[in-house]
Amino acid sequence: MMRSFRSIYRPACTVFKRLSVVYRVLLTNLLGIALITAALIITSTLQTRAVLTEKEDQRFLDRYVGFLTAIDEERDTAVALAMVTAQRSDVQAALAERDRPELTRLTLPTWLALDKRFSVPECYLTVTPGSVFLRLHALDRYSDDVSGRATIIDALAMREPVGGLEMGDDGPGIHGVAPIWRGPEFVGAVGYMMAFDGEFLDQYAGDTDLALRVLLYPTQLVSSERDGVDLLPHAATSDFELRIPADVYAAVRAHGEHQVVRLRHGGDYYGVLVGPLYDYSGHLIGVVEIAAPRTQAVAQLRRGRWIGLVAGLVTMGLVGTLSYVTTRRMVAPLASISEAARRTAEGDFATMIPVTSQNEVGVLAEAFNHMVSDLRQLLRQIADTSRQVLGSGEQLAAEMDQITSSIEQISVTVNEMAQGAGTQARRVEEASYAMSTLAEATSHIRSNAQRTGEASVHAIQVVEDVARVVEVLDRKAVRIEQIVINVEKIADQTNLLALNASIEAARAGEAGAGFSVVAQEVRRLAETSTRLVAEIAELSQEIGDALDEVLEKLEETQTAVGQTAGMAQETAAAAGEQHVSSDAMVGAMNEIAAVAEENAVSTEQVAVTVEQQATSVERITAASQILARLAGQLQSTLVQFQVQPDDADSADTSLGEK
Amino acid sequence: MTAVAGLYEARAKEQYVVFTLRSTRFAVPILQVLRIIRQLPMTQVPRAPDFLEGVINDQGQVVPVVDLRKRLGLHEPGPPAAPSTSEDGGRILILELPPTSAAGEQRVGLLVDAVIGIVRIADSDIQPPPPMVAQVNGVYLTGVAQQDEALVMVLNPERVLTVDEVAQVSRWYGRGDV
Repeated sequence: MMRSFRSIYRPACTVFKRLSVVYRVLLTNLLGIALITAALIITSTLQTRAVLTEKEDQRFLDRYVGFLTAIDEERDTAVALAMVTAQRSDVQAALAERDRPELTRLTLPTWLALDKRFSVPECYLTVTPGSVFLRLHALDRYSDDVSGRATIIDALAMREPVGGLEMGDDGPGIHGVAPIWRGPEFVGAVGYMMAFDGEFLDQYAGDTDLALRVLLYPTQLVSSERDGVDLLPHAATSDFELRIPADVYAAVRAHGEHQVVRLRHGGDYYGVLVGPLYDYSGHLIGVVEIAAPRTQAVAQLRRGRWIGLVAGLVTMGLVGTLSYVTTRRMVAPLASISEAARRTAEGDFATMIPVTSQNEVGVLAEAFNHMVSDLRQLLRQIADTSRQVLGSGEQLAAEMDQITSSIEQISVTVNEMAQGAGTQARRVEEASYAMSTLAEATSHIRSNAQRTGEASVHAIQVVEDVARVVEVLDRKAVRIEQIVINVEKIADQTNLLALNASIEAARAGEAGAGFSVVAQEVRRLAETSTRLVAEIAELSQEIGDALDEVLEKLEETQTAVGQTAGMAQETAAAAGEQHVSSDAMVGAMNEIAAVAEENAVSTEQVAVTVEQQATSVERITAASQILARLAGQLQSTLVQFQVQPDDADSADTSLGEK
Repeated sequence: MTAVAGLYEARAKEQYVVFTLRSTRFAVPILQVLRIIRQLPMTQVPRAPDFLEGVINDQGQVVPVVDLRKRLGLHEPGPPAAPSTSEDGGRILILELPPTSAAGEQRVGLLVDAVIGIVRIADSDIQPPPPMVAQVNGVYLTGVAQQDEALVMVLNPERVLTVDEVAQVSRWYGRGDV
């Protein structure tokens, strides 16, 4: 039972969940109304049935009482007949003389006439203490004891007219007995019996729709012996064909009261009252069944049920239509909102929903519009920022190109300088060698010293060139630092915007899910930018330090070259004067050699530093290229969002602080 | 459709905005954060409760700002104030506190040192605050979570201000002093 209920309920639930809101509400309403209608029909049917039953019971009771009254009326007729006979003085005299033939002659014609006309099957005259003196209906039976007949015994004993339903030898009859007096002398009693048979029942039923039947207990049984004994049919109207359940008779006997039963017979509905029949002495002798068709009541019940059903169906139709229309109206804006949310999730931020109502749905639409416009503004800000990053990155790359070419220039110049220094050192060595051959020494030394001096002057010029280029480089480095600070600020701004975009997306729930991924991507790009910028700043710092070092070394070179020049001049002067001793000359030449060597070493160091610088610059260039690519990537990420162009101006002004 | 929406909501619930105060990391649920802004010059307000740093104008709305360092008692016993890493000062988280019996829906700004980012912390990864929390009163904390080998204090923003204080703020700026 439980399993089969679930096997129906579960799939029904699944189907219900798949329905749209409109049909769900409709179905719920219809189900509710169907339940209410069913409840109303059931209660009203029960109520109507109760009222009808009560009314019917009352009608059956009336018929039963009417039937009993008819018996009483028949009894009164019998008593009246007896009293008329008892008034006849000739009958009084004949009975007083106990003259049976005379009595027969006097009464027989009257009884025969009465019986012919009114159906009075029995007439008898009785005498004290309790015997029949004459039976007009059985002239050969008399003087027998009738002490079992309560009406006769009571009439003789009380000397008053009595009557009622009573069982006789030939079955039940309605008896009336009257006392007979001759003057003050009580002489006996006369009795008439009216028939209690099918004819009597037909007469009572008349032309009504009633059918009657009388059933009696077997005569000899006393009441205690009647359990389980069937009542015997005694008389019935011709159309009585119903079969009454046996327990109804038991109930009537047990309670001594009538019972009403309802049953079907041959396709029709019948009501039957089964009422007890008591005889003159108050003993239960049998039952009377009064049956009548219940066609009207059943028709009334059916009509009530049909009216309820039709009213229920009409209500279902009306409420169904009403709820369908109302719910559709309420749900329609929701569909447009969910469509807009879907489009937003796909990246179309130009969606706006018209706010048509002031209710919850309207508030939802308004909140949605607000959210979308917030998201749109954030997107625009991010797009602008990324454009700026792209611009700055390109600027940076251009600056780097310039720096690279400057450094190449330095490289060339430094190489020249190194060559100069090498030449100088060689010349000094030559000068030193020349010292050994003093013969041509003096003139050779002078020319060598002069050439050394010329080489030194050239070296000084080269050093000055280098210093100029390095200064330009230094200015560029400062410029790079400024750009880096700007990019840092922009990356910071992008990061903040991306954070806010993430928050907005989280608050938007499902609709913001797609956007949340984008915001995360943007934030990651901003973080990478920040890292790259930090790297560039570090490298730029390194370049600055290297440049300082170059300048320092250049100064050293300058000093050394200056010294060489000075000493070469001194040597030249000394050689020119020809008074200088060879020792002093050798000392001076050695000094020159030492300084020239120092000069060469310094220049080499400069070359190394410049080389390092070139590596740093290459790394900066690579980093700024990555930065530019990131900004490009950010731009292309943002392209998938459609942002209406009309608000672009306001987005620009919001970035004014940059 | 509802199941998917529920999933998104559950995932949104597990997102937190992480920020630092001194060198400590804190987290607040993302759904309670309205937005993050740079620290603005604040307007000092006479007779304001002392935990209020001042008020700012956020998108046309006057929002009271709470200095979380003072609120959480991080300024006195801690190490000497480390200079702010960001040259443009700290950040302000604009929070939206749910309405209470004493006051309606309320926006409050939290002044913090820096915002680190947005992380996902599963509810199961949040452990109750240790009984001896040296710097922060346990009332403000939902719990402590491990995030990238660092401890994150998960804040309950509704507890950062008591009901009385929220009401006080509400009364104070409902009075129209600003």
